[in-house]
Amino acid sequence: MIRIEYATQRLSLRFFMLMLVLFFFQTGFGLLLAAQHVDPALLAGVLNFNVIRAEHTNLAVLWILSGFIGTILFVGPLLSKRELAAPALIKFLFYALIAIVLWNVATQVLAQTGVAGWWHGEPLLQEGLEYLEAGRIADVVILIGFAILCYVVLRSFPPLSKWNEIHWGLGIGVVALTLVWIFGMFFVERLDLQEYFRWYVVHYWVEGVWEVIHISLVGFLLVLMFRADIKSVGYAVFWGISLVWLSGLIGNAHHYFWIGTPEFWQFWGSLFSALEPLPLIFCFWHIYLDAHQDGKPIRNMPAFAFLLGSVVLEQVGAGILGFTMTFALTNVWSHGTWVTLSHAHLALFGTFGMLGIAAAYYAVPIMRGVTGFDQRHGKLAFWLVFTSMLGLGFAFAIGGTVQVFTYRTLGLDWFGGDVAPAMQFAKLMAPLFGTLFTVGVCLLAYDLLTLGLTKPAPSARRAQETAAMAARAPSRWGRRLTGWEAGLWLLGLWVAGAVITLGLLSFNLPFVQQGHAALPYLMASIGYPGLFIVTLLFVWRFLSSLEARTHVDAGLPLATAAVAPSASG
Amino acid sequence: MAAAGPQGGLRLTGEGMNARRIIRLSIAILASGVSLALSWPYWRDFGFWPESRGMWIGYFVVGYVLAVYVFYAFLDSLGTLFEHDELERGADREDAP
Repeated sequence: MIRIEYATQRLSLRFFMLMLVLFFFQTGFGLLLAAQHVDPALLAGVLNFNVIRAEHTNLAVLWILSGFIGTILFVGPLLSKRELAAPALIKFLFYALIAIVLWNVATQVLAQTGVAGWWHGEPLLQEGLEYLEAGRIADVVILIGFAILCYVVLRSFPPLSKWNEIHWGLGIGVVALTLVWIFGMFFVERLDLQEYFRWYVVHYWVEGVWEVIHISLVGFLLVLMFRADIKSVGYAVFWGISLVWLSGLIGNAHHYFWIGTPEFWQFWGSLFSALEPLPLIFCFWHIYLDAHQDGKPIRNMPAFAFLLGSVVLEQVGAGILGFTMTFALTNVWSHGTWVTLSHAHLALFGTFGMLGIAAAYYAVPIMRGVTGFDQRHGKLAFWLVFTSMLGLGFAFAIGGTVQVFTYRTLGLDWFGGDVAPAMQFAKLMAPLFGTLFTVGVCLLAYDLLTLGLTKPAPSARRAQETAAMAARAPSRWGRRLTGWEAGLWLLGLWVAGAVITLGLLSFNLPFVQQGHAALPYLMASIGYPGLFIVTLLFVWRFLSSLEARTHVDAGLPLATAAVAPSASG
Repeated sequence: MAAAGPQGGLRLTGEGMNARRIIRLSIAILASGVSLALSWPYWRDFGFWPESRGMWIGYFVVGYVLAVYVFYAFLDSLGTLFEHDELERGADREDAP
């Protein structure tokens, strides 16, 4: 009988469900943005582009946080070997999160009429800081929410002397999550200074705190899924976090390039940002080694697929696409264009969003006592969102390259009707892939919301049996993925990344500046499709190699989390 | 240079360890050099040095040394990650009936 070890783990279920609902609405806003790019008059004056954009980015942060909280609450008791502290506070946190979401969605609309709710020099209702648009009232409630999370995690954990690296990662992560938030809670009139502090929150959250939580949670999920050795995982978590901080703390300076800060930041920001992919490469090898350690069947393929997607898109979106535009020499062109969107979508959804979905796929069946479930929906949903997100990345990257040339190099006017038509092809691709992505989101939300609540159809069992038959005769594509081969795939990704980097660098060349776009266009048309196709094939290959060893049996227990692993290592 | 480890994997002895350190350090120096070249502010004529030339040289030197360290730490820790994997595989082989 599959069961959870600790009753308070069930508290995570509501956060996973909330995550799915918010994800659905966030995707809806994204689709609306894509439609507005095609027809800028759509909903003009009713829901303006800037408002929908703020809703889209804010909901992205909120559903990812909801996924993080759900995952932390699920693994917390396993790590602590006892129930979570203060379950009443956790319930309060859940309702506070819903209140914040509703309040924030409502107040962002005020941006359209210019109402910020100023009171004693503070914008109480909303402020126009990208990603941090929430007004001060919401900020304070969010701070209280983070403080509750800190209290629950630290109070639940064992004494400090018994902490392993995963405890430290999560402990530091939740405390830093709270402290860094404070930098976004005051209004500074000087714009450059305000930008400093805005990036303290946005960047240090993403690359200094969320990364730490991500590495710790990926590590522990690997322990749960593969029975990986806690000490080896602890070592990987320690060095993953160390490398994140060694590179990312100064690497944050790539956000200080063009906001009026001293110019030495352009050098240090570039140099240290170049090191930021290192922990991501490290994390990739970590998951590769643990997934191939024992050669046993993967019992919950959707959970692993999303976990792998998280680590691979982290590599591609944050690592490679981040690298290509992180140098002042390339960023001077790409900054604020669709090239950035490509990086942001793949990195944010890929790295952090997919982790929450992976954890949900792992935890929900266990919490609902499901002994075997039809994994086809989950796998299909994974391929839909994964492929369409790569497609969106491609649309943004190609559109961004055209935008750089027409807008930055030729100096054509954004509002003069020259740039938008040049980007039309990409602008049409965005809603196309966006629709496909939405279908995937609907499928995975439906699958997880109803998982274990409906009786499996007879066809589901037949499908599992068919899959089992197929798994017994692996094709060449499903043979074991060796370290050398994985290394070659990784190299392929980075070669494409190098081509993209050189393409962006080529905008500095005098003949390109004089109006010849052939070289940067050629490099982009090789680099971006190359990167996304190799990514797609690589993940397909990786999952096929694992699927081939999965002897699916409906009677086989789904997960082994019923017994808490030795977490105090 | 290389010998059979306790679990059947390869264990490097003193000479091999030194060679490995030299290779890793060389890669770190080279990669940091490439990163430095990509990060160099070429568009500046350095006619305006708000922090003085000495400070700029300091930024370059300290930045480069830190970058070499980070690359080296990355290669070293990645190597250990693979060693752990090799040891665990060896242990699994020994445990197998």
